[in-house]
Amino acid sequence: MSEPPLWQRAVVGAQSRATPILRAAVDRQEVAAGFGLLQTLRGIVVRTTEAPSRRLLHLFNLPAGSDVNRMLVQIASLERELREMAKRIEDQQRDGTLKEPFS
Amino acid sequence: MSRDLGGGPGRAIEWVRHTGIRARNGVLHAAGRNLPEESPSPRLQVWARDKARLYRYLPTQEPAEIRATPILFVMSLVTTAKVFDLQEDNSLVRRFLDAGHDVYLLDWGVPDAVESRNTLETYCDEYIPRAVRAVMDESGSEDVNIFGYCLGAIFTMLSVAGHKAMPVRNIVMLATPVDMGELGPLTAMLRGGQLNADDLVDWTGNVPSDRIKESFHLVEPAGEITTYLSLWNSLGHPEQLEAHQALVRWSSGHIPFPGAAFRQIVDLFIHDDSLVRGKVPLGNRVVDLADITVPVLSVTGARDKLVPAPSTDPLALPGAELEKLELNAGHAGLIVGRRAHKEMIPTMLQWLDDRSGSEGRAGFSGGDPAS
Repeated sequence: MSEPPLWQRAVVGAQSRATPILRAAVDRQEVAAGFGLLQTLRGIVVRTTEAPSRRLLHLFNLPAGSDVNRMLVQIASLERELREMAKRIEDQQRDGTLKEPFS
Repeated sequence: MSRDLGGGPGRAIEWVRHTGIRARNGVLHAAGRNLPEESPSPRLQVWARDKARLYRYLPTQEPAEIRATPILFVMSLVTTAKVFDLQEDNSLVRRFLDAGHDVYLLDWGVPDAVESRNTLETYCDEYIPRAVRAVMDESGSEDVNIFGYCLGAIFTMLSVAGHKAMPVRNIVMLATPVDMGELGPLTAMLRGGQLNADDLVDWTGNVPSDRIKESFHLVEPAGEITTYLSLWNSLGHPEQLEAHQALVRWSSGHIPFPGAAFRQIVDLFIHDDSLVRGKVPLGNRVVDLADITVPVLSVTGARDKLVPAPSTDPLALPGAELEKLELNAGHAGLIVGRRAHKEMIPTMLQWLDDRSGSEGRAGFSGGDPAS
């Protein structure tokens, strides 16, 4: 196996030197607080921009993304209920009981 | 790899040829062509519940010895189960098959809004015990071995401890994140209260795959450089390129994490340290890890940055014959790659061999292979 070329060794060297510095930076309390704040802000921005854009689309009788999402969540909830019923029937048919196996 | 232009026209021709191959492979890679086959080993779906699927793998060659106890692979929830069967010549599944094991995989599937309310109980009390029963029904065996990877190892522990009647013979656990505060900046922020579980959950009720990817980037901020260097080095060698593509496709193919299970993990494992204490409230009881009484092999990777060895260190199973093993590998390197096949996997196989019988077993019941 031949030695990697100089540029690769330089990149690997730079990376191994940069990694602990970057990790130390990420591990700092201030960065953690900033990251947490960023995640919270992300949610706030989405929520605050969603309402006016939804109202605007509704003015033109158009569905907003949040309408579609809400519908998908409702369908998911329905599918979950159906699944639960199907599983109860399946378990009842297989074991004659709803008890978990090995319990 | 070093390419020296000096040394006459022969070398120059070789350099041009090699550069041509690299360029061709680079274009094919960028265009997403010539990608290796996914999950190449033939398998049958033998059980399903919701999106969870249980597959039985078919041996491709007659093994010298047949192990009596089937083995069930249990995956984490963060990525897909493809890592167990990455490529034909780089497949953990195939190594176990060739060693005479009857191999089953419990694949959770890709969660969407329907799975957002899946809890730890869904996996540990509902799916795993039923999958174990399905393995026993299918194989005709009276017990099973379980192989849990990452969070799959935690699910395995909780399920075995919570179902004392479940006939499990041995457990192999890889990269088990017991102290979740040690997993990197994201879990540290969750533990420190700078971040709430709800901040990470989207409208589907799940933690989206992008957030999971971001959290891994925080663990290895310069990790992408290594990936690109590995790509560069493999461009001139089609086999290496295939291996690189298969691994990167898996390691970057994160999937959404069910929101309800995520909230429980944050509350129970990150805030309350219940895994470190060995007692986990699950369902309407407290699961005590001391109730695991079977032999357990816990393997960690000394170079694992995602689940570093210190996060597994607090693992204590007072009722079990627990063997801890630290291998010189990264997270995926424990089961993927040349070194894993030469050193890591044989170690795990040997450990199981020492604790399993090698009698005959029930034959395959047929059916259409599913992939």
